[in-house]
Amino acid sequence: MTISRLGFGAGAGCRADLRTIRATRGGEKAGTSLRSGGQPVTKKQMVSLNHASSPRLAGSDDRQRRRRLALRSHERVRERGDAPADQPMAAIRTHGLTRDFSTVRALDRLTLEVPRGSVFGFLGRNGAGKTTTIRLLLGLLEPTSGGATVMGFDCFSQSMEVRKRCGVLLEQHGLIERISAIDNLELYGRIWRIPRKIRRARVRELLERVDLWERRKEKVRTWSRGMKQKLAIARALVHRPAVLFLDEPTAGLDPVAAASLRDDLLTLAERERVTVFLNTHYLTEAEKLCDILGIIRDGRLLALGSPEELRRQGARRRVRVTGSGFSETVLEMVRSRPEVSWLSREEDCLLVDFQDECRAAPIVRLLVRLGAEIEEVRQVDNTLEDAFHSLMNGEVPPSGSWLVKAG
Amino acid sequence: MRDVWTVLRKELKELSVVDGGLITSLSFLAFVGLIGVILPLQIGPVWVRATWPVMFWAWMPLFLVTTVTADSFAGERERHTLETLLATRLPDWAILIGKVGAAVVWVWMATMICLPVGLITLNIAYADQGPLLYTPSAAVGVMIVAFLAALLGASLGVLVSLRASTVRQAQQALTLCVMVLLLGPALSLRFMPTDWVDALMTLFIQGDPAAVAFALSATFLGIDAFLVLAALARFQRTRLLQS
Repeated sequence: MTISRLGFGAGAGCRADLRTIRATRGGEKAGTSLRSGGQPVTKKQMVSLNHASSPRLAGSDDRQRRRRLALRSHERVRERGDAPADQPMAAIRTHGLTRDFSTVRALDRLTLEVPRGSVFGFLGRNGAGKTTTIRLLLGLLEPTSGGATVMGFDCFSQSMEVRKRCGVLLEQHGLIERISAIDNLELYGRIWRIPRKIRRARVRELLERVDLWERRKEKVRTWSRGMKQKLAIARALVHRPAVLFLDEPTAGLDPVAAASLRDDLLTLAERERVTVFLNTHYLTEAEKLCDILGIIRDGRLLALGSPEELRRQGARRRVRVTGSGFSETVLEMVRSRPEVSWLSREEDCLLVDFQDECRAAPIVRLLVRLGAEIEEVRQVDNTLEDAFHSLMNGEVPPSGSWLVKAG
Repeated sequence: MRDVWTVLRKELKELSVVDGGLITSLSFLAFVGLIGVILPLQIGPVWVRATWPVMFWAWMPLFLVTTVTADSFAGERERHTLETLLATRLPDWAILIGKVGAAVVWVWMATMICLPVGLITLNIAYADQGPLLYTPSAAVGVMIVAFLAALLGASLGVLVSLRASTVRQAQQALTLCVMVLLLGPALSLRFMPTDWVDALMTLFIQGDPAAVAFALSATFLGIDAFLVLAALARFQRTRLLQS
């Protein structure tokens, strides 16, 4: 049996256990792990990322530190092949979550865990199943099969408890455009039953944080999309949720507004110490914001890991050879070598993709022998985009160090 | 109940500020002017003495409420605010009752404003005929029948709006329903025995207004209970997003 942190179920034969990463939040008692059959496994030792007792996370250094802490705990799980007793509890956990719409399978056996306090990014094209996942996790849709929990509550039988702990910014901002910004937040404050005095202070605090306090009395309909999105994020946080669901929050924004929103989002998420589940199809956004990324295609989770891991796993090993004398004959000779998986010429350079574990030196020697003049040989850094496209195009098999492999 | 109150407040707030509030206010004033001033002036003192105006107070809220309730769910769906509302902690029943309640309050309040305005108009215009007033039992009867008619229209409207994908679609369906409700009883008279029809006509023309009001109220109450229960049964979060 192969153990991994996060992954998708691999059919009926999947017997992998899901161990829980734990975190206590403000001294909250740690829960229990779940086996795939739903059987609780009690862990005695509990050490955690205790956000409540840690200093406020404000800058990028703090974010890096938090990310390192979260990832270190994942690493330990993988190294030991078992869930360590000191793991933080998962904020979100799904097991074999599947949803069909008439003839279409929107989500296919999704199995993953999102640790508390992390920013999880769900990457995929439009229609990949990202929004369906959020709807299922919020109990707004019923699954065809499988299950999910958010903050330990079942998303379907205890959906109200789940929603109490979640803030959302869905595909559409959902603001009431006929009324003012402050009325929007006041309304949601009332919905969350925040006492008036606290509610007013909270609304002011949030509006100030997103630089909208001065415009609080304006009707939302007159605002730009960027401002509306900021207000919607403030609305999602008004009741201090434990989990924040964001469905493509920067879609349709210009680059400046998107960057500003991302900054605000990051600052707010860190200050509020909230677990973020972010749907996006922007790779830069995912790379900047997320501790863990999941790549989904046609409802199936293809890969899961930190941005760095995905870069390493998904992308090819590529070398750029700069020089001259790259004739068609030379290219054909190089292309015919078994260690070369792909080759392309771009003006005075060659881009060569190698099979795994193959070295570039023999190819360079071959090029020289065939009369090419080499000026520079450089390994091309893999980008998340490379990894993403490789996975999307099926050039690399679904993978990820946290994927559950079939038992 | 606090959740119902929250939804009700939200709905009333939205209703009061639609199109900047000005059009709403003007429409409301025009409505009060028509029903509270012009109509009583046209009809004269019979407006308070006859039995049939009771029927009018039953019809008017039913007609008015359709303009409000078509927007309840279909409008939220059209404006993309429904899913965010459904993603909150509000229970299903609180959302539904809050929306029905807001429509009822809105329409009933409009009716209740028209009622005294009509009396004032009549008493000014026909000052020579002495004070023109509803009997207390008729006044209470009219208030109750107007409330129950508003509830009927609101429940029906919400029920239709639940599954309609646009406000226009909801309005079309509702107009059809209200036409059936209004014309149905009139058409059914054609199939009744003549002596039944005569008895009904006598009741509506010469009968005690309070008795007519309470008879109508009892009928409405039964239909209201059925519609509210049907709406509660049909309101399911997990199905609303698929329609």
